[in-house]
Amino acid sequence: MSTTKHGLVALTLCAVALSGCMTREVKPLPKLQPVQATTEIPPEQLLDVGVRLFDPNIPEDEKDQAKQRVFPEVRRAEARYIPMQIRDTLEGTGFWGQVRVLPEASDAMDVRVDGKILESTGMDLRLAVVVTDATGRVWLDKTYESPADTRSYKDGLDASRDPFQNVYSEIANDMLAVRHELAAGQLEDIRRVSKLSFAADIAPYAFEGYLLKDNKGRVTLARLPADGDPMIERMERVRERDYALVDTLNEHYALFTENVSEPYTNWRRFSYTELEAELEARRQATTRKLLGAAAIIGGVLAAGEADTYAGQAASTAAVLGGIYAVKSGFDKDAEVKMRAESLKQLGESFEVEVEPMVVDIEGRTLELKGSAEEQYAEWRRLLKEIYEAETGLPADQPTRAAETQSTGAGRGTSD
Amino acid sequence: MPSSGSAGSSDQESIFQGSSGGGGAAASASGGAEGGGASGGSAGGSSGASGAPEGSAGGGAAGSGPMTAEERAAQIEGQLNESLGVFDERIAREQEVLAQQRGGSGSGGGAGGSGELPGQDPASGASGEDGSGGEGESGAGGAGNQEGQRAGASGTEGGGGGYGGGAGGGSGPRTVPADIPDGSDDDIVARQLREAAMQETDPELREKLWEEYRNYKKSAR
Repeated sequence: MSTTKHGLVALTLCAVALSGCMTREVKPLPKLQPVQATTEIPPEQLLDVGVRLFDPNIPEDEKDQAKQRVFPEVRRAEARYIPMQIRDTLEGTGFWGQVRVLPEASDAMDVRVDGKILESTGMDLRLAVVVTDATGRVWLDKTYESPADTRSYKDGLDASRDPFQNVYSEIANDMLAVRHELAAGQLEDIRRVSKLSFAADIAPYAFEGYLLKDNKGRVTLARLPADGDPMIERMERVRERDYALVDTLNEHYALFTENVSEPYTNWRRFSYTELEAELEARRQATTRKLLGAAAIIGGVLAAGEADTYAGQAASTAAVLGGIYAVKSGFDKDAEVKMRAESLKQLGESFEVEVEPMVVDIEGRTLELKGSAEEQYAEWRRLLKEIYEAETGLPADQPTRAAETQSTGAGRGTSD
Repeated sequence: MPSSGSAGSSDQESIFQGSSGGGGAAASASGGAEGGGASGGSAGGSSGASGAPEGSAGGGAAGSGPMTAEERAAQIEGQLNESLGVFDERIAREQEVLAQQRGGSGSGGGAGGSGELPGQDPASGASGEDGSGGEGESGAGGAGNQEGQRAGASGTEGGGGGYGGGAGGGSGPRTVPADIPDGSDDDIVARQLREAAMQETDPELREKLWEEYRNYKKSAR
């Protein structure tokens, strides 16, 4: 009979709604490894890479922070942690020269990696990455994202692998692909331009005219200094100190990364668990409400048409079951809220833990940079005096372009 | 000298080829590194290249009368070297500080203040071997701290900022019965039951809580 059948269908819907047997299949994520060099790269073609501290992308409004589940101190830690992972990945490939994490932008690096954290939870990582070289060529400008490799959250061989290593590997491989497209001469030009950019930043009066910048921001070599030029030698000595400063900062970053690694991984792991449970609870809540509502409607309709006790009983059961399913859907809503609260507590707890480390590394960075800025100011002055003594010519005032050119760790504008 | 950590740019003598942009005037001794192409009248410079002395000097006799341009340049070069040396010393001191910090963190101190796990539970066997700093460990200590964190379970409970370590306080026994698993797969309800049981000081109530935990885990399977 149609009414009995109607009631039975409604009952079935209830059963399905109440069982809540919606499971999410999680397939193992394939591991993406960075391509490794198998032969030695000629030194003159080894490009140095500067990975700038990432933009933590913290919303100003606290409500937006809560909505997007952004914990400011966690993001500030990640703004250092993630570049260090990229640095380690690039260094490990053998295709690059020195790879350093920079506290601020520098045009005087051969290749520069800039990034912004768009999303970072234990479940997903999304980064906006731009890679450029000293000549202004844009190598990459794309968004990278990946779900977490949950094997990193379990004990075992993969526990030491970053859950988002695939992202870093992809960035490294993409950079390598661009590098392979460049001819040897282009690679060497990049190095020359970065060196002269540094020199022009320190002593613009001595190196003006060696580089040309077009309206698209592309930089080309206009001419080269003489071999053995003492001003170039002095620039190289100053640049060595610049590298020394950045390397020292990198050691601080490395120590910071080591210290924060374990609690950060644990935060990601627990966050993943809670996020997954929250998603599941949301799905179940929605499913139960929908199916419950359908069962109620079906039961009501069937009751209206029922002309047997069996039909009426089935209809009544369907209505009651539907009501209960909807109610359990709302109970699931409560669980969703509980998971959300749990995530909030996790984040706040980790923030408390990581904040002193972030404050410490920021303080050290500022201290070193401050101390270096004083030195740089003195070196600029001395170099200018040497130039004037050697050439007999007054050094022109630095041009605006030279003044505002991005600096390395301590060469002027602060972060 | 630059610190050992700073290898500088990858290995190069000079990446600049022989050609100069300024024509012949820039050749040799030096100082031609200026804009405009002309190298300037005299190729002076710290290398002591020949060239008519300029500036305020009369003859080149060192020490008598005003300095020659070369002497002046050499003097300033000396100041530059001294300044570079001061910077090198600063970097070397910083490297020493780093080395000390590494030595300290390697033994379990860590740089994080609040990352301590509140008392590894000895009965759980979940390592507790150092129980302090929880982060920065590699190798056994680190793995142990992870174990400890799972044993401490909740990580979501407010506690004293000990992330992952569950509620703070060390009062009352936090013994976990031997048949209780490590709680790594606990959902939030189970974690709360576990934490309540671990904090409970009354033995009877504690046992009841553990019983609730067992029953809940069975029903959840």
